[in-house]
Amino acid sequence: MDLWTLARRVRGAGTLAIALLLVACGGGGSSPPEGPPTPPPPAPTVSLSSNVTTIEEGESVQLTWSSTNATSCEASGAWTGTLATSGTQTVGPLTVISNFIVTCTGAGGTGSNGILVQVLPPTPTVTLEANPIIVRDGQTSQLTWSTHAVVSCEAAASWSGPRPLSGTETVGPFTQAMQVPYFLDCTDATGNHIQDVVIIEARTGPNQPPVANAGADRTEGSAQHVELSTLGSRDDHVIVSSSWTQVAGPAVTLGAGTTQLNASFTAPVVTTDTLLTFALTVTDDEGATSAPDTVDITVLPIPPIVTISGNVQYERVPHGFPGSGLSYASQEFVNTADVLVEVLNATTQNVIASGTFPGEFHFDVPSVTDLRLRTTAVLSRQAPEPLPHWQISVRDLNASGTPLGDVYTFTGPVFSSGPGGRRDLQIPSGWSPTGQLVGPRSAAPFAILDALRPVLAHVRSSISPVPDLPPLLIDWSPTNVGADTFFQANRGGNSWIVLAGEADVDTDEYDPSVIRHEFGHFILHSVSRDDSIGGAHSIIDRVDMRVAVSEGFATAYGALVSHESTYLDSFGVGQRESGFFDVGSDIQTNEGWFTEASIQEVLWSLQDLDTLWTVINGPMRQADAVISPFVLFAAYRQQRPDQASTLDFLLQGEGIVGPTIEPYGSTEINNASSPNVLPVYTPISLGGAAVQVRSTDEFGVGNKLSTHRFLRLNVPATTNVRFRATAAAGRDPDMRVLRRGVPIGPIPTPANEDFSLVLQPGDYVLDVYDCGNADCNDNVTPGPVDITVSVTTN
Amino acid sequence: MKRTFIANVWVYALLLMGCGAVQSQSAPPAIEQMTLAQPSAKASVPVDVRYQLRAAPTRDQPVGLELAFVARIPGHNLKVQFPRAEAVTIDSGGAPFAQQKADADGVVRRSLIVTPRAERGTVRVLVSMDIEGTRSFGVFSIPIHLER
Repeated sequence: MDLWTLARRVRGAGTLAIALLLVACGGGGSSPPEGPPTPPPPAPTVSLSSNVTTIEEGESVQLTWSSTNATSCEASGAWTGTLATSGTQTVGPLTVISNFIVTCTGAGGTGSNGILVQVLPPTPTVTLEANPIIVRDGQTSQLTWSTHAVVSCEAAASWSGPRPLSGTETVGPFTQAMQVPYFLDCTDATGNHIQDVVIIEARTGPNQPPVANAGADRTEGSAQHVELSTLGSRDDHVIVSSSWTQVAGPAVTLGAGTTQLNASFTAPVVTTDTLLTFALTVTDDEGATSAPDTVDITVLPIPPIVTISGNVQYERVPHGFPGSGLSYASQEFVNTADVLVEVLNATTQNVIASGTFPGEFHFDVPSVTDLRLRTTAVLSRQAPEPLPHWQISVRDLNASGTPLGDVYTFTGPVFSSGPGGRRDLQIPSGWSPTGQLVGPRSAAPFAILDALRPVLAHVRSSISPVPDLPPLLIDWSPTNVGADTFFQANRGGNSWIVLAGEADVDTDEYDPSVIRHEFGHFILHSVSRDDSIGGAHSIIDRVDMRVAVSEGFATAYGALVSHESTYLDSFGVGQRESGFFDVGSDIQTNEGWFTEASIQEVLWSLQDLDTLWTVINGPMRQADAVISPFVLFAAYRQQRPDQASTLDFLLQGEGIVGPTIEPYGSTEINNASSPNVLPVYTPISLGGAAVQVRSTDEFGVGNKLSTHRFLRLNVPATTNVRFRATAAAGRDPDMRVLRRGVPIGPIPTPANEDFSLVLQPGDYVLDVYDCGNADCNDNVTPGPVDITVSVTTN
Repeated sequence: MKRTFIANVWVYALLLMGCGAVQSQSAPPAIEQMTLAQPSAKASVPVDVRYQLRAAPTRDQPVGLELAFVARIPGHNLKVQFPRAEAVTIDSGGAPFAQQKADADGVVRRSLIVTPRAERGTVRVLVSMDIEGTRSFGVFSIPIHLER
């Protein structure tokens, strides 16, 4: 029904309709006013409590009650009788579960309350003791026992026969050194046995008092924790207690030591050598006390230079289970390393020490000085260190790659170096355990670098050739737009990774797999060759083979170096969702040489980083064909003939030709169910017949499969070559001539192409596409386009 | 009398909009006439997001924005959210929504009313979908630029 019809129908009742609509939208009315009513007398209220709500059978409870608006109260349930309107009463002993009720009456009626007391059966116990427990040379000892909730007792071991439920008995005299056990076994009403045992130790001869040994005299540093040890003290049996007292030197406070007999204290801060003396006495298990022994502790002044050490720790926010996003409740401080650490004088802000450390940092600094620790988000390994080298920093850049600020740093609070010691530098995430942003996201740059440490560990341990990586800038900030994450080579002279930082949309600082994926692109670009044309993609899109191999390699490389096959990418409100897949699982959608999931699955299954490293550093860099899965896997097969059958099996599982694979994919038969996909390369000869290829948007536009088509050309001798690409009127056919992936020749025009190049002998690839399909000309509608290509001599 | 009657129609219209009812004013545009929204740079979701504005955008004037979501690969749990837009307010239709199944070549449509607040703005669309034990997402950008 349209609005006009609705209006006509309700025209006669418009006011009523509006009122109804207002009500529906939240408007409302109120009841007509009335005269003030006479309030009724208030009803009584009753409260009732018990000092305990669970007792043992035979025990009593203390009940306390009070009331309001009542004139009388009555007990009922487990108790009876008239009660005051408030009071306390002991009730019991109780033998069964009891419900106590108090009902009070007043002008407003009655009110009541009740409380339930649980009554448990009694717990049977037996206690047997001997006094003295240690006897000497014909002494006797007195046994004393008591029981609760048992019905009979029987003696055993060194005594025997029935015994009353409680009593005393003298045993001995004991004339031989031995241990004498006494056992009392009692039975409760249900037949359960409850026992206790006591062992009298009989000794002969006189007791030898213990000998105290307070340890050797020694020196300790100012402010150090000092342990006073009884370790050297001796007794013919057992030392059960000790007493430490200070007898000389500036008073210190003695506290507990690492054992019950030890003591400890914190040494005072002194300016000259200072003697502290402590006396020790020890007592044995028969109460004999030793003569005192003393120990001299000489406390030394703090030296002018002391060592501080610790870890750089950032607060890492881990992922929950796949799909659930980041788990702020599980965040914790974890160690990181290899970042620049500096010590600042807190007064002057001058750097007084700095360094990078593979683990804990150690600095020699002035003692008793106010300092601050600062760390910088840079990983650097440069000469004179041997190769490999790298220089990776995290900072905020603008869209042109121009820094908007310095490399991120974090400076810790002021502390005194004192006598030296441990001092960790902790970098907070800025997020609360409930996922609320409560401070600067200081840990993010360090989390990003920490994600790269497994990759750099691989680079460091990689087999030859060891790379000299170009400088890499990582652009991250909370204002980096969500999902705007990519690698770009040679932007402003630098390689560049941009990572999203937009809260509630997409943040990447705690997504190590995303960070390592982008770094995988950097590795491929730096040590090998990456012919990818970029663009939007998903792992199961059918895309240009150059994109498929680049993306698949980047994901697999990150997974292989970190031994982590689960790829997680948090997103959404509160980062409470995540994209996910397992690199090693067999995703069967769109399998083939044109799908990045297929590439990463094969690489992950091979688990052969060394050969992969050799392949990308050598054969792949030198390939005449564009970098594709065919180039990658053909080179791998050549490097590892012993693994050929494994590779063939994996490739065939992904719908990629195995045994006959070669860099140009000439034997490939997977056509993605389309007539517009194969051959991978169409042969074309210099001076031969024109060749027709079809560019299509069948799989999407831009970088999708078959928007670009490839032709293979061999030039046997240096030749001036004329290239022509033509299509129907209104289309925009483009052609790039590629020599080992590098375009040569003119920039394509918005119409048919016709240009000449002087080419050296060798193999060339012609990259032919319609600009409407390749998303480079908005004026041309995507669709299937036949492009005729000819290559002739001038 | 006629003036009163017309006034009532507008009252109803305003009331209906105030209650949250949003209706497309005409048939949805054909898919091929709609423009592809720009996907995000990182690995994305295999869904095409297309859009068409109902009229040329004017500063501070609401305009209809038709959206269509086309899965390139069959999936399920297609979810759509609208993150904070830049220089554009989403007046209606901006609530997140989800669809259990997303068939390849099936079209999910949504109508928004947006108001440009500056010369150049962007409506962003966050789309996620599950396929074969995986979940992927992407952020798509729709430029809302005033005509000069």
